[in-house]
Amino acid sequence: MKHSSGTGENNGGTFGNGEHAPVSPDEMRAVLERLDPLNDVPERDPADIERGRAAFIERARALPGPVSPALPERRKWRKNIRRKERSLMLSLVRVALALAMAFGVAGGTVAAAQASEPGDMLYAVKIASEDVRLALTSDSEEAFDLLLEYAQERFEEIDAINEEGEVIPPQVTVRLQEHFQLALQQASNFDDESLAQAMIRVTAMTQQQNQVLQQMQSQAAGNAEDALKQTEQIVSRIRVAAEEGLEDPITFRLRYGENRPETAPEQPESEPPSDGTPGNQQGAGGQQGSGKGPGGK
Amino acid sequence: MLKSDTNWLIEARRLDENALEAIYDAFSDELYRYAYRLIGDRQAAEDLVAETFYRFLRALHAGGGPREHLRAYLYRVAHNLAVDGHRRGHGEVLELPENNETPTSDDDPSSAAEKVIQGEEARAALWRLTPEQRQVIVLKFFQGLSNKEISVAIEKPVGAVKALQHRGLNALRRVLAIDRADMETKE
Repeated sequence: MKHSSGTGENNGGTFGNGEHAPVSPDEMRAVLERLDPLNDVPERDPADIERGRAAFIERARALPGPVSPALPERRKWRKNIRRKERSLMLSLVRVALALAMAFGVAGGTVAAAQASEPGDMLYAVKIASEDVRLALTSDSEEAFDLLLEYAQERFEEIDAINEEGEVIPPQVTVRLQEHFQLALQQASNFDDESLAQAMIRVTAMTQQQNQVLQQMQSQAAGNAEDALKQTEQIVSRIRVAAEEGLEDPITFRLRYGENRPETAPEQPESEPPSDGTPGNQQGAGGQQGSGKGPGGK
Repeated sequence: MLKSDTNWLIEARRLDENALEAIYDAFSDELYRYAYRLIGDRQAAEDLVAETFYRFLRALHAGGGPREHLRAYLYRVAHNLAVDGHRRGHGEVLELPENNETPTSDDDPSSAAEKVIQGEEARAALWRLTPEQRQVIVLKFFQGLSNKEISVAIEKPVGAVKALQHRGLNALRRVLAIDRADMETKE
């Protein structure tokens, strides 16, 4: 069976009528709904992954020049590797300066802390540096990007902790939820088109996280099940909120906007884990509720 | 030992196997999903991932490759490979793979076939965009990259990313024959 792809690429503006008119949120939603089948991606065969990795290393070995031998601690390596590329040097310098002034923490410590995981000594520095970085961000879109980045970071921490068979600390789950909720608050400041884009992004992200969480739950040990289920509920709630934001931006803004009237619809339930630990009261950033940092517009 | 991203790339540049394996583990899945979305064939997507990592390896070995923004670099290589592959296939038709795996567990064959067709139609629409529009649309709405990350991947400013996204969506609206007048009536 063949499907014609038509006359080829559109050359970036040859469609004429309406090409440069703004795309309304409804149109964007309609377009992305039609592209939704692209989300159906078959799972990779674990054997393919193993083969791919082995072939990659074989090719490296085949290159002339020294190749360091593998240590039997790949998982530890993996733990320390951030999936997301972070060219944060500039931000980190600012954060380090702020932390140095406030607490006397050295810049190198802040940089090193970025690879830490919950339970590590430097994890508190990492969290503090995130909060400072967020507080230094005055632009809503940048803050939104940052909060989603943090939410993904917390999610990957949960994944890594679970993979190691350790107990998922409740504060990580709490922060995941807070990052998402603050991101929704930031998005409520966007115009219609940006809000729709933001909600589509949150929907895609939470969909992917839910899929991973289902896999994690199917392999989880008894003591991890509750924490994973709770995480799944949080992620699902955020996904529903984003879908609602896409459907009904007005109600979404009433619900998450910084000037919520008393009659505004309630935000989704936001309970900390039942065994919530101290130290969570501070929240996931210095901007909660304000939607803008200290230097805000 | 804690390692920053910079250290990570330094290790990779020395072709340290631990670093290379970790990089493969960190990025191969999302590159596979990216490739599959563009190509629609599982094996071809795996091949594209393998070739992407091989190009990365060769670049490192030659003293090139990324100094930072590895993720964006890998996406850029993968996208260029997909575009080259599509051009070599003349870009006129998109064939369903012979051993087409339906990525759904749906037992109903007609429903499964319909999903495959819808997937191919969506892919065909994507391939009617310019390479940069396509890259932006897929990275933004399917791979979940931020505008900043995309701007690094396509080596253009964030403003250009937003413009490409806008033009891409508009082009898709027309390719998919989503009638603006209809939308306005519905509103």
